[in-house]
Amino acid sequence: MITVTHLTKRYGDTNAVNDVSFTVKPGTVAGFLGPNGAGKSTTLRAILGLTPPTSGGATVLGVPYAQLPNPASRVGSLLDADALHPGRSGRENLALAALAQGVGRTRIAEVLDLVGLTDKEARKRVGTYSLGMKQRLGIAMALLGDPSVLILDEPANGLDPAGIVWMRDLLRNAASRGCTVLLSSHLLHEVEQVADQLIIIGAGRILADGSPADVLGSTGRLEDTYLRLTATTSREGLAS
Amino acid sequence: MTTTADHSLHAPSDTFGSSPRTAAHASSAAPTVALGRLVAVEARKLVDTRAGRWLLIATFALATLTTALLAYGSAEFAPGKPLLASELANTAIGSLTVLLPVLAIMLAASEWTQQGALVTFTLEPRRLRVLAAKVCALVAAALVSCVVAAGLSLAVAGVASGIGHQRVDWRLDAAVLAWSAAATLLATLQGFAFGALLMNTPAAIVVYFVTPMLLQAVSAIGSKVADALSWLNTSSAMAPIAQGAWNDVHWGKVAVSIGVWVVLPLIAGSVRLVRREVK
Repeated sequence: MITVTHLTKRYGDTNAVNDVSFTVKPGTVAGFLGPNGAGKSTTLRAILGLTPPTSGGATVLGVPYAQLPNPASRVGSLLDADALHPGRSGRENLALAALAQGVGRTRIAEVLDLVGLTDKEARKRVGTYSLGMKQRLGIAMALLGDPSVLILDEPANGLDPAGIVWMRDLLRNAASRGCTVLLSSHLLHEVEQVADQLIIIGAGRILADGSPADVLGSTGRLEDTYLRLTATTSREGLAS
Repeated sequence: MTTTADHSLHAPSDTFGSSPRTAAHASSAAPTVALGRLVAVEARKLVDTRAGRWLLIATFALATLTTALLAYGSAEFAPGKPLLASELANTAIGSLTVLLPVLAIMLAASEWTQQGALVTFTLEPRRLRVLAAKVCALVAAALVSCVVAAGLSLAVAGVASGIGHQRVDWRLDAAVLAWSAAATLLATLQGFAFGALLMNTPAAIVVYFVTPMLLQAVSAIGSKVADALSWLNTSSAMAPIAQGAWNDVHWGKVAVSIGVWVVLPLIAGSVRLVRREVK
């Protein structure tokens, strides 16, 4: 369960996130959509306690993320696949996270196997990884603690078509097991196939939030709805 | 389960890799992130990058080299006198003040310079606990380094005695070595405090090494200025104490300089850390 309540984040004069509220229930994959600079990443960072909100807030599993005991073991997140020390190997990055979370070593091999990184690749320094490999490692880190909530920012970024299909199955499966999944993405077609809830944000405000049937209405196509909803806000965004 | 080298991913059936969620796995994920585990993580970060490993190797190489030079010099220029093991160990521990602060700066600042902060503070959002864990890991590493450096210096003395046939006075002055270790620890903590405040590895290294030079230069203005600045010089403040000649003024200078160079930057860095947005 993820609950965002009247979340506002102001930088100087601009409201990056402006009175945003939404809820994602367990067993749901929520697609979080919006143009660049719409406030998606700021919202996700605020949920994870990385960005202090100007007002409002968010809870995960009923409490603010920072108050969860051992939060990463219950909430898996991937915000930036580049946010890993380039001088450490993939396996070492996982080992540090496992050590902090108190997760056993066998789990490291499991998640590496799961995301399709070979032993040889895992021993290489992350600085030598391609974007797709970093993304796989980031997903492995998110899954390390076998979490019941997943918060992923552009997880399919850099993945090949097979990887994207795998990602879709992973998310659907997680939701069917009762996981709460919040997924930001620009891949509308992918989101359309996987999401049971669509949250569209533009210029820091929620433009639509509901089931695909509710949000898409009679047009039935996510792309049309998305472009129509974000047309004005993205122009504003570019102008400011 | 099969593993293939071509990045093909697993069938959705084993989505979470749950080779049925093992009880061991479930129970090993402790309810809170214990401080001990965080300290272990930070200690591991000191040595698990090439930069960290080479810095430690260079640190101990320097300790060995300086003591070897001292032993050689003693044999060459004061052949009649015995080689003092205590002096060698003191020099070895003192040599740590050159590079251990750099390691400390890296531990404090590389989260920000080399990425990693996002993961670190997602794993443990209580940021001051992470800072405390880093300090604990660093203090332990500095003390172990002092013991290792002293051990290396004694090995040098052993070589001087065995191969160089130098007479060695093996008595160790515990008080002198303890003060030397304390000074090394302080220098290391000062480096850490600078790194924690500036959150930028190169900037902190530059400020750490330039500050004493600046103080020295400013001291040259006049004796009154020099006298005032002596309150800010940790090593000169500690020197008389190490030699057993201390009074209240000496202790005061030690306290003031530690306050200014370690405690204040650490407090300011903590405030900055708590407020900072992690991206």
